[in-house]
Amino acid sequence: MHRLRSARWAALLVGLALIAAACGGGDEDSGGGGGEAQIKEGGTLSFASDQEQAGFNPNTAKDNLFALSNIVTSIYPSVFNIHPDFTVQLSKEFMDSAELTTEDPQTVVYKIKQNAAWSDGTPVSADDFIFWWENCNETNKKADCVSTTGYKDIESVTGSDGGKTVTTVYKNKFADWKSLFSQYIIPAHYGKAQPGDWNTGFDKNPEKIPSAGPFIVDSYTAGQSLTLKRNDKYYGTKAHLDSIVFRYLPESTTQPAALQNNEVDMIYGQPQLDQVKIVEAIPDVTSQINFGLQYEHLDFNTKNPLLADVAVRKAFATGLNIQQIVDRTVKQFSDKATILGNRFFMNGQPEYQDHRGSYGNGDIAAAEKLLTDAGYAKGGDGIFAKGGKKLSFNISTTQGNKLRETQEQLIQAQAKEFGMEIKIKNAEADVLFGEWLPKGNFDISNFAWVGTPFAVSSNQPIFSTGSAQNYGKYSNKQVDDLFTQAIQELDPAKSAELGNQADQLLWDDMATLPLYQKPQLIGWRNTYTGIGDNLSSQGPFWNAGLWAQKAA
Amino acid sequence: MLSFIIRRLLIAIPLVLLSSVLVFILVANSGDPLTELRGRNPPVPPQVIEAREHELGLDKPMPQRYVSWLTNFAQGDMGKTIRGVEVRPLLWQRLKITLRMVILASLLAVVLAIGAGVLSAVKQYTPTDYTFTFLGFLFLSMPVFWLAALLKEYGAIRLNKLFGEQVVYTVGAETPNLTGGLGTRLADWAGHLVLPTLALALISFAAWSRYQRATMLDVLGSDYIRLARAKGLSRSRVMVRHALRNALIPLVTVVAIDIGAVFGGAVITERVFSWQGMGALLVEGVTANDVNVLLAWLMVTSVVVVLFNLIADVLYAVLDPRIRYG
Repeated sequence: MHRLRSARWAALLVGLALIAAACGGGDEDSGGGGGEAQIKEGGTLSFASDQEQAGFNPNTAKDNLFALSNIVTSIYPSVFNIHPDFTVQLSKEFMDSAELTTEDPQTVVYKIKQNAAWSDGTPVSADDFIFWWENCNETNKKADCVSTTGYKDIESVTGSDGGKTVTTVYKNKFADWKSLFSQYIIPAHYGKAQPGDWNTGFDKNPEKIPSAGPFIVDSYTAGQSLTLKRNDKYYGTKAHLDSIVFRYLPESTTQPAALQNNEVDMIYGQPQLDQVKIVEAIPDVTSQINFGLQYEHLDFNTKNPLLADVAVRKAFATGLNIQQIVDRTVKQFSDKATILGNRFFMNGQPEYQDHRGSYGNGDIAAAEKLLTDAGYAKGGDGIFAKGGKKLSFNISTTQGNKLRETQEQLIQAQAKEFGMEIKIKNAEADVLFGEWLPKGNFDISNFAWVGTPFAVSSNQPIFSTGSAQNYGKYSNKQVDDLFTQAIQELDPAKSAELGNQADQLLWDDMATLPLYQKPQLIGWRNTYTGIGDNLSSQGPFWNAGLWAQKAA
Repeated sequence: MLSFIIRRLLIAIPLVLLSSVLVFILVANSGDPLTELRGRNPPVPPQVIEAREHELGLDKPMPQRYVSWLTNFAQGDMGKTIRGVEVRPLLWQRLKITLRMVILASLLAVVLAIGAGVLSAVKQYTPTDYTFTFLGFLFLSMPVFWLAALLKEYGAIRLNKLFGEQVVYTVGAETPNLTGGLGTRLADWAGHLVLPTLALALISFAAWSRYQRATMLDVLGSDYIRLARAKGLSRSRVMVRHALRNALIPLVTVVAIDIGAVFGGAVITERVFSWQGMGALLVEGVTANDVNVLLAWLMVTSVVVVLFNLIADVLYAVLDPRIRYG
């Protein structure tokens, strides 16, 4: 929850003062938690969405919201889907194959199913791939593209076999090629025919946008709801449900009561303790707390002369008791909460390796020894210092986030025990992410990074020398080189191994300190089957075509 | 009277303009609306951010941005939100939702307040008076969100279980994709309206009933009421024609002004019942630093407030001939 900045409040107050003055894609498997229940065709599921989408092109920065992903995952196809176990698998209903055919130059050949077509009859073809590439390869300067990563490395995209075979040739090698042309391919023929084309052509009349997924938009009432209905022209397995209604309920605290009162059938979001208790107490509702690809961590500003000393960072990480932080925060929601030992791969991913070693165990003696060995001495106030400079740091996070504020208080108390002074200095999210972090106005900061299964390309901007998102200004040539190698390594196993090597180096340098994966709450009425969480960017609706009502 | 109305309207124009300047300066200086875009991972390409800056006019000096906004606004173009949605249809849609809740709540509150206020005054220092006084102060001091939580639990969830069907709703203004005739639609609207209307009405009732009690007591103690009684007029005639009519005059003006203010949205009530009205729009605008949304909201609510103040003045003059001839 963001708090409002003082100036905005002032603006609000002027408004109020004036009044006062005047007064005076479902495909392969269900992956759900519904088991093997007998199903009943038809029915409607109502979902509480705390966000409302702006437009319907998820590949623009303007429209790229999680709320939109929940909708379009059942409308637009993807070459690859991210499954709940974070594996990246070919969408078998949409594609015959997608293969790396040549390594140099890197060439990927996609074969689209012959029967794959948009609901207006137009085949899904190379045109749709080209439309995406042309708008995201940085040649069209006016195109609003959410990410050009990978697309700018492609030299050409050509169609053959009546557009059903797409050949992409790369000018620079790109290991995470499976991240491209997935989530989500939009209909080029429709977009090009609209005023506004790629940028705003998908803003209005969503019920007219053709679908190549199990559902299609039936109706949309701004501010109220959006309804998907079964796409009867879908070339794959037809959806079981007749419709899915997305009800916009921006205040997440209203959702448990709405679930209890049968106004919605499914809720999803970050858990709050009281809400979890309410949802768990509803008799006909299944709820789960799961841990996904987002993780909480501490960023160290290496431009701070004291934090630039690796011994100080290591001592801090050694003295900190992360288990206590986990126990007092996320473990309140779920016993599954654990400490995280990797920045690139999360618990549950096959590539995950725990590199944490002895960090985060609350070893005060070891932390003090590290500082003493580095020439620091404890002062009369119990705080270590060197050359007259005390180990005193500010910790900053998003103001108003109770969980993070609790974390800060725990860190403050723990740090005092191993001779470091921590002062809490928080800011609104927009100030923290818009000003303090980019400008380096922090010592230690606690926030979350959102991961993807494409660990190398998503982490390179965070840890590479000179990158804008490398807020702590960490720099290690070995890490930079490993990223360069990993991003050009076309063997996924080798690329992951290089990623793990880079992560080990980041632990050795104590560049940042991962804490734990963030929990997500999902709850649904027991009368439905097939529902389960998918904690990747694809979200829980990734297999909505397979959701169904249980037979009585 | 006509010249009075025109004069009041002419004074209102610079007032509204000045407030728009102030809000523009405050909002435009309170932060970067593209912060979220800048902080994404993977990073949004710089040219996309530049294009958004240009589209929102963030690359222009502030006076130029304001003049451009004002020129467009005068031509009926309220601009777009930072996510590219047209503000004008958004605003009307939100206003309609708020009105649905506010009008009914105000009507209910007025009726209850007059009834309770008059009864309290007539039966001063009796158990009836104490009961209404207690209720008045109870609702006056009760936060809306807490009242809402109670209403949801006891007025919806348990009630629906009791009936065995969905009668009262806790979120939204209506059920999406409702099929059926007018009767079904009306029942659905009513089911959604009950809780937010009650919450809002009870809060307004509390203040207005205290006000009505005080003015009624004032009138009841006046000489002309004593004279009316001395003349032998019936109790009901004294109460209704002489006391109540006069005691209503101040309340009418208070209610007119309050209703004007409520057009801006019942911020908390809308939030806790997930009504996407004007109050919710204001919160969204402030949170997202959305200048166009905030300015449009401000202009509409300012005009409505000014209009209702004018109505209050006119009503006062109509109800009390002394004002007209004064």
